[in-house]
Amino acid sequence: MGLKTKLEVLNKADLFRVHDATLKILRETGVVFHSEEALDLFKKHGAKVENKTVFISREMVDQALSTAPKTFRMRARNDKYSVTVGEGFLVQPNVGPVYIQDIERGRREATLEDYANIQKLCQASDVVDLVGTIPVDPSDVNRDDKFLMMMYESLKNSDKPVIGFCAHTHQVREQLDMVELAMGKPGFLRENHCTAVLVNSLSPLAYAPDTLETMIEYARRNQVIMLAPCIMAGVSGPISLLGTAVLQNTETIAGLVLVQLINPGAPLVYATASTSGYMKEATFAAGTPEAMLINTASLQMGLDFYHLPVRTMSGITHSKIVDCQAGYETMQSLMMGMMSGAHMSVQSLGVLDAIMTTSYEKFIIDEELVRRVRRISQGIDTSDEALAVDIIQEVGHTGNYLSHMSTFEKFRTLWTPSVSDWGNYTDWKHAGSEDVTFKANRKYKQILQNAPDTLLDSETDKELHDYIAKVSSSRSS
Amino acid sequence: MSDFDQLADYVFKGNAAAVKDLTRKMVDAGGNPMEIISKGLLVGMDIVTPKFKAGDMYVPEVMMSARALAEGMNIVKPLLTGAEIAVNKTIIIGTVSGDLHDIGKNLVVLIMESGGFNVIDLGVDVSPEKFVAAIKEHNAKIVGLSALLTTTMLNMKATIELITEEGLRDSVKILVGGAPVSQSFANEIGADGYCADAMSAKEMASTLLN
Repeated sequence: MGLKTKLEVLNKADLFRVHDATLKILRETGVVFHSEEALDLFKKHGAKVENKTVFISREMVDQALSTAPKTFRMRARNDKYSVTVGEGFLVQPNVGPVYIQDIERGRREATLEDYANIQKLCQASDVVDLVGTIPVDPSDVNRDDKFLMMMYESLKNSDKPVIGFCAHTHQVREQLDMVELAMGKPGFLRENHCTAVLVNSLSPLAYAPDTLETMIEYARRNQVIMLAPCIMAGVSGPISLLGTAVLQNTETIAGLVLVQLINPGAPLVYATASTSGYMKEATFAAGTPEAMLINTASLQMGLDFYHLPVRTMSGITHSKIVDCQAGYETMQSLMMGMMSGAHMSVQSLGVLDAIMTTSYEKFIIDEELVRRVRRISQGIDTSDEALAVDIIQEVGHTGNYLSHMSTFEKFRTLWTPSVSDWGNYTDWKHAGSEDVTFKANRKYKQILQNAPDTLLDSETDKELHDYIAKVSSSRSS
Repeated sequence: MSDFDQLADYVFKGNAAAVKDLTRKMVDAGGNPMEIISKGLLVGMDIVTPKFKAGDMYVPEVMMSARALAEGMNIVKPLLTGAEIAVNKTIIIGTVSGDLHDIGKNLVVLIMESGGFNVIDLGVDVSPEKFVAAIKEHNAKIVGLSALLTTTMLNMKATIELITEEGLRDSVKILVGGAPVSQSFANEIGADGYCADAMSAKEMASTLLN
């Protein structure tokens, strides 16, 4: 089982060319790190540093690649949800949308309740492996407490592995402390990878202060860093798709070197999130054919050249509503992501409007798209039994396979949709001639209605509340 | 669990061997054949129907249940008296002239039988003349016409026309079905009903007879 080939845009010689190009840029142009701490660390390890620009040698890159793990385990609060990063096709919540949308109330600024609702949907979902992060940015919480509240809601509503947030040092420490409190054992994070964070480089060729603060804290506490340059070809990267893949690779490798200097062996993910620019407006374009072509090139580097866990941004669209465009752009991107061998996918759960919006209905529809794509990734059974010669000969020229015992035993293994309609026209018409969005609307409400009030025991809940109160009051005093 | 309930459960689970054994045992113990059918076998199928409609059971499972039910029927039916065999529950069915497709039609046969109908299956490529002859021979009240092709579905019209010419139209209800067939096509050719699937065919036939 499994597909026999994956989607590739580079040949083997190209992988070396991209690597050599990366080394040349790292060595001759360098990367800007807006952090004294990071700069000191590079200096201490013998890198040439001029102002904030770090020139990284081939030796430093080789050394960092030798300690970066190929796969690692991410520990969930409920161990049955623990995952291996670097295998399969894991799905995590969206990162970044500001708006929430549904067919009754339309698009609006998201609230903490919407944030909690998405965590509930993720917890209930059989296709979502990780939770947390920022599927919608809550507009009704003050900025100082936002990260605390989001982490609390993630821990309260889910016990899957949780993803945190890129922020300033004290905020990152707080979220890591909260995860450790929820895990129930002081020092648990040192030995276990329980949480992850997505960081974007400041393209071209730089890392911003808060990004570096986040990377340093996560690496020190042995937690997972997903290095995800989000470059727009023609805007923040070269117009050539290969050039943007080179820039993406260069920024990722620079981040990887820093992380391995902080904590050799620290888990990280080679994450690809670039796209082509929308040149009519010089903005981010989502759902473009070229986005995944860039990322496919990068995934080949991460997967085949560096042997790292890889993630991509797939299942994305620029459509404003759950319509035909939303469907085909989402599936195009998700399918290419899977076929390129990504171990993880982000922005695959209800994204609309180029990651500005998360739609409740599309979340449900996208779950089915993930199920479709995962089924395709399994390929076909090629065993002798599956050849079915005996059955074909037994049924012969008349009759059918519907009532054959082999069908009866296996028919439920055929993939069937969870929201798409495969029934006949008459039944569909009698049921109200519904668009799939309406079915998804009922389904998300039903899931939320059935979601448990909390997954935290009262003791842990109190500890988290006390912790939040403590850091909030220390901030205001 | 009573024997009736047990029998119904075996039908529901599609356990043909168990249905056969238990029906035989009940008959040997002097059970009333009509009761074995109405309180046992058909009750099992009545559990299946709503589950199929709700999407919880799939066609292969319904077929297994229908087959299990048929095993029981084969034992009990010969014991029924003439009066108990509901003649007006006889249905003639076939794929129309020029069409050799029978998977859907066979499914309808199985489901109809599971609903207690006495089904006369004329097979595939059935000419209008054969349908007419069968209606006369069996004194059937319902005729089911099947077609898979847009070309052969026109022969449904020819069949209905011959039934009308022979003066039988008022004494039978005609149901049509098959992938290209629709309600409007059924209306156009003067059929009494269009059935989208086997379950609705069974229900429509029951409704028309009542």
